[in-house]
Amino acid sequence: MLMLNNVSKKFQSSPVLEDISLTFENGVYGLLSPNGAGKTTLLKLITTLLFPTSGEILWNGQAIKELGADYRGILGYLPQSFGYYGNYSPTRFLKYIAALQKMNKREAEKKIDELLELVALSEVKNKKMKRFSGGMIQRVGIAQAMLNNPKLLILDEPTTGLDPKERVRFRNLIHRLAQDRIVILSTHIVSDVETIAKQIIMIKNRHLYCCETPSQITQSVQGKIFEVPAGYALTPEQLLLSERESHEGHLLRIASPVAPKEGVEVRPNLEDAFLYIYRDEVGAVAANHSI
Amino acid sequence: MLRIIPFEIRKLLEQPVILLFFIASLLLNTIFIATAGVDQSYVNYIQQTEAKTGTLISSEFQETLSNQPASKKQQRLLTETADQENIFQDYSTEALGQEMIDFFQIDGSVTEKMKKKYEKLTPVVHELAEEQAALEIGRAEETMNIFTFIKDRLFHVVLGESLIFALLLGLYGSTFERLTKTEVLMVTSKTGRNTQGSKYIASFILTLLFYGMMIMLTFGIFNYVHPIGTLWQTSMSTQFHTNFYFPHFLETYSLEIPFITWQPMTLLNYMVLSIGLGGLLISFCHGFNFLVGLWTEHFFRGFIIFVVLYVGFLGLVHIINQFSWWNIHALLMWHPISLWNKQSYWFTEMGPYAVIPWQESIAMVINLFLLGVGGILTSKFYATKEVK
Repeated sequence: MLMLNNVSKKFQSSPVLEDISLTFENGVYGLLSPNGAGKTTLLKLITTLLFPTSGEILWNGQAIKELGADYRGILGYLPQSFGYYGNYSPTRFLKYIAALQKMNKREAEKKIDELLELVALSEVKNKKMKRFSGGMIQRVGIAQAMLNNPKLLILDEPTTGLDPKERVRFRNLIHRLAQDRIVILSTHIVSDVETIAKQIIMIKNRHLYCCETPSQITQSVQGKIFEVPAGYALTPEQLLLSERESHEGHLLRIASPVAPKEGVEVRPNLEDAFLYIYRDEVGAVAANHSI
Repeated sequence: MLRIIPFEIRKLLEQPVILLFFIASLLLNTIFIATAGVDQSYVNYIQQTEAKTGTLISSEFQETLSNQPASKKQQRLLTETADQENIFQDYSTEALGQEMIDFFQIDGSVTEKMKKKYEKLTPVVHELAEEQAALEIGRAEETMNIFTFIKDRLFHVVLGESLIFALLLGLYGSTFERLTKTEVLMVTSKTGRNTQGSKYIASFILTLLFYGMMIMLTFGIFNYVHPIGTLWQTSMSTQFHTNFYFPHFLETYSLEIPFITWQPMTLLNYMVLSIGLGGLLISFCHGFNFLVGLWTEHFFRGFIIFVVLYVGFLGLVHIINQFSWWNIHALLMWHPISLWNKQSYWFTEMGPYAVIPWQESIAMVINLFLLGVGGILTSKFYATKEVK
């Protein structure tokens, strides 16, 4: 069990995360926040790349800083920008990672073959990675994160660069892996975690906003999501979520505190809840784009 | 750790710049050797003649030499060896010390230290006198040219190349993962931040390998192009080989004194010792820059810091010399940069560049000890260093 107790992190004097308390058990946890909310910082704290300014992080009741190598030995990590050696083949790269993980040589070789098969890279396992596409590199990254059969798997934006087919395949894989381990998956793409996450963690204004099941989060916007015709003029308190084409014509999906006259209430999904919760940030991003 | 080191060595070896630097250095040294300007025919003549005359200049030597077939080389050797005597007989090291003090206008407490140092040189000079080291023929007046070329130019160049290599590999070894953005994978692995230990050993092995190979190949090529044979067994203190001191900033006149080492040495012994001390200097340079890399986290930033420190130190020495602040000057001579700059005086009395016997060797050990302390402090810093 991984536990964060009142964890805060400051860079110089500016706080990035404040008073975060979380408990993780086996299953997938989706860390869903807009860019810049502190997702990567939180993951870096869990992976010992950063150290909390205050608070503590415990693995099975022991501080991870004190556990040191024992803790890192059960950790698998795919960073946001995954670095690799262009001249290495996936096999050679994974052998190096296995050495860093102090894995038994024979076991490592077997595991490397299995993982390369799993991420569909067996055919190019001895080719230099500098010729690989972004998606292929990301798959090597996923393989290296799973090499030591980690009890705690941390994935920071893991689906970046993957095509839709690979994305689905990856989601299924993660769901399967999470049966007997903790998987923390950071993303700003709602569909990555909507169906597989046991709980969704959201950070807002440096604080933990929620850590609830997707249905609980969706429930929070129940009765606030509507579809209106394209010509509908939005009031300041209403938020445009998305647009879609239907046989009734062009429709706007909006969030509104009260039912609009021409609106039809629809069943909310996690993306609606995400956009509604982060409406200020989303608005700011939209404003920046329009400039 | 042992399992990771071969990976790290291979990773470094695969950098094309390493092979290019090695080839370029070897090529430069070969050109240097080819243009050495050694009078090889005269060297060969003495080599053949000394088999008959012996290696010590004496009346018998002169007689046997006179009986050799007449030639220009024979005449030259006769002239160069005429009137030679055992200069270390009745040689006063106290007078030498005073001459040094006067020449450099040394003042303050350093004067006393210098006098004491030259007093300690007396037993060495007695030993040299007994061994008749000054009368060793070597290669007569060609000896100076060859000795100077080997120790002050060829070895200096090899040492310089190896120091540059050590600097680059030290910095590169500790910043490589940052350049490839793989640092996070390394730090979050079971080995974690300790991987830097394997990186240190890997880059250190390659640095020593470069130095060792460069020494072997360069001196191998030298011996092939300019075979000097028994000259390797000639005393460094033969009177055909002298030590020169120049006053600061003025090289128009100099002080020429016998080449006196703290222990009588042949050219071979001297070079073996120099290679050993050079190895320690290279180890220091590699270690220092490895630590600089860990602190700065960036290859080029680390390189700039090194250059600034180096240039800053030379500037400081320049100012100190101008004001003749001998106490500070004496202190600065313990610095590794000074050890490198004064390499041609290693193991000798070192004139104004040392206040105690064997100062360069003692200074090197102290510097390595301080580096070790720096290493311990850095490992403590690095154990909790954040990777942003």
